Amino acid sequence: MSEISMQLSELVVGYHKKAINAPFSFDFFKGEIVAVIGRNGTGKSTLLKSICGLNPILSGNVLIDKKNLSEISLSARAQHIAVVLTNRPQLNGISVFELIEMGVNSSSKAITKEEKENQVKEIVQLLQLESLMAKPLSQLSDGELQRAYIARAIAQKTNVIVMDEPTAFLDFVSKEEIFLLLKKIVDQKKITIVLSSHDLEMVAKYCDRQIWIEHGEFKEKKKA
Amino acid sequence: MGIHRHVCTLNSIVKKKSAIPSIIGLSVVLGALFIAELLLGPVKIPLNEIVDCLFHPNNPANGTSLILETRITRGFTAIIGGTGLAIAGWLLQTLFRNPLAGPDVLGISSGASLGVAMLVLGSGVLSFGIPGPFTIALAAMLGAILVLLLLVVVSERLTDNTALLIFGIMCGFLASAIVSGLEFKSNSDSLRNYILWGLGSFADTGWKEIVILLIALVAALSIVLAILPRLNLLLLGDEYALSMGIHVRKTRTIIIVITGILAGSVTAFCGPVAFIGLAVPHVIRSWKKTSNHHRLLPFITIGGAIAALFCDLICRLTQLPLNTITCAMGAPIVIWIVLRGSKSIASL
Repeated sequence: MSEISMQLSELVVGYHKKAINAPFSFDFFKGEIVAVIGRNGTGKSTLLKSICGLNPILSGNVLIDKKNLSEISLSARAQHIAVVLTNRPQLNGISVFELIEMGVNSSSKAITKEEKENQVKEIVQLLQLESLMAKPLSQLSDGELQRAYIARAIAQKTNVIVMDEPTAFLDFVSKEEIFLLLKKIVDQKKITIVLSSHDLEMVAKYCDRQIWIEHGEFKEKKKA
Repeated sequence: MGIHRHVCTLNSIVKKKSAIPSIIGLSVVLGALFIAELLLGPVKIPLNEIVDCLFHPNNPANGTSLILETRITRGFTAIIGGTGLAIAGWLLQTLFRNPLAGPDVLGISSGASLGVAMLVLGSGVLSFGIPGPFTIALAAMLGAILVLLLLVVVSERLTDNTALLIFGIMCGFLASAIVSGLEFKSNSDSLRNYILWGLGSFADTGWKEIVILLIALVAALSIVLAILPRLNLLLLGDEYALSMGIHVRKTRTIIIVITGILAGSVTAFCGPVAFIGLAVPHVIRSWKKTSNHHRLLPFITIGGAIAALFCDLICRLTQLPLNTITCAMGAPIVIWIVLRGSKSIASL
């Protein structure tokens, strides 16, 4: 069994102080992709945003590398967990290189310019973004834009990356490309990716485990 | 071969084109405009006389020294004021991720106008006599600070930037309502004084005011330098910024305070100068084709000074009010950028 990267302990999430689930505990391991599955409005995004601190947790804890996320500073949290959201701002004045650089800057404060450039280069080669580096985000296709935002998250050098519907608005080929890429990332970097998706076939093919949300309960569904 | 080509491409991107030649070019333009500010005007002063005045300022034979001093102070005011307004507009456009934001949008300029209207027009209504320029500046500063405090308190409660923007615009409308009521009730002398202040001018400042403006600018620029890395992250939205370790609310409060210091102090001494805060960031973004704050800061700083100095020069040569020139110059430039298809207006 590989090493635990993140633990949810008796976690209850919700919005406006209203809980949406019964207490839920779950261990995530390094080098795996875990999918959160559920119908629209069941709380997939609420769960993912609560895990990474964008939504307040109602009770319970999220532990990464044995650190309670609600007890550490925001900048320290950014070094433990990164996020890729559904909305991907197509900024006209920011290039792919500059977007990745933002992630590197969040990873650590004490970093030389050379180290920063080397980190960006490594990620660019991993995600094969070389030809897009100088392009502004506004000139990318949806699939390219998603790859750029995933690269930004990897640049944060965290052990866990949370992705809210990473293949939303993408065509079938781009969806497969993104899942293949995620598999390559977890295999090479030995990190954990937690993502939400409606694409059950892709999830079955590429994700190691699944959390299903039904009637206010989060349950693990083992891979067949 | 293919991999080698890609690495070369990456290296060429990493080694960005140096900004120094452009900065030197803009500095030369700024210097030339400052010299023109000293030379030109209703009274033409030859260059040798200017040099003589600068080296022998107390020589009574130099009849032009008084004119020269007013031109020097006016030039410095334009440089500091223009820089301050451009930075304030740029920061607000980042905060609201809205290219239409400017120092007047948050209601800070309206607050300053309200302060002045209450003093100038109120003195007319209550027959106090006409207040002096320093009292007017104090009233403007108080008005701006009042709105600023209100915004800081409200920004702690409102999580949505659009709601804050609407709040600022509504504050502006409320201030305008009070001002128009005062205008209607006041006498013609007070009304004229208020209208003249509202036209904007870099001419009514002395060294004391310049020192205050400079302190405000240096303080604001120091804070901007400290928060520069956070500004780029804000462009991605609050959630991304938060996930990358940025205290979004704290940063928002800091931006509001900096904008208040800059727009409040400039409006206090120069009146509500229009368009520089809105137009300069657009022109610079369109020219440099980037929204990266690290790369834009030197250009916005010098660009604001150039725009203000140029408008002031035209204003002196044509004997028209400053705001007539800033609007007449600023609006066509922004329209031109839109029409030539630059996306910098539509998105940041």
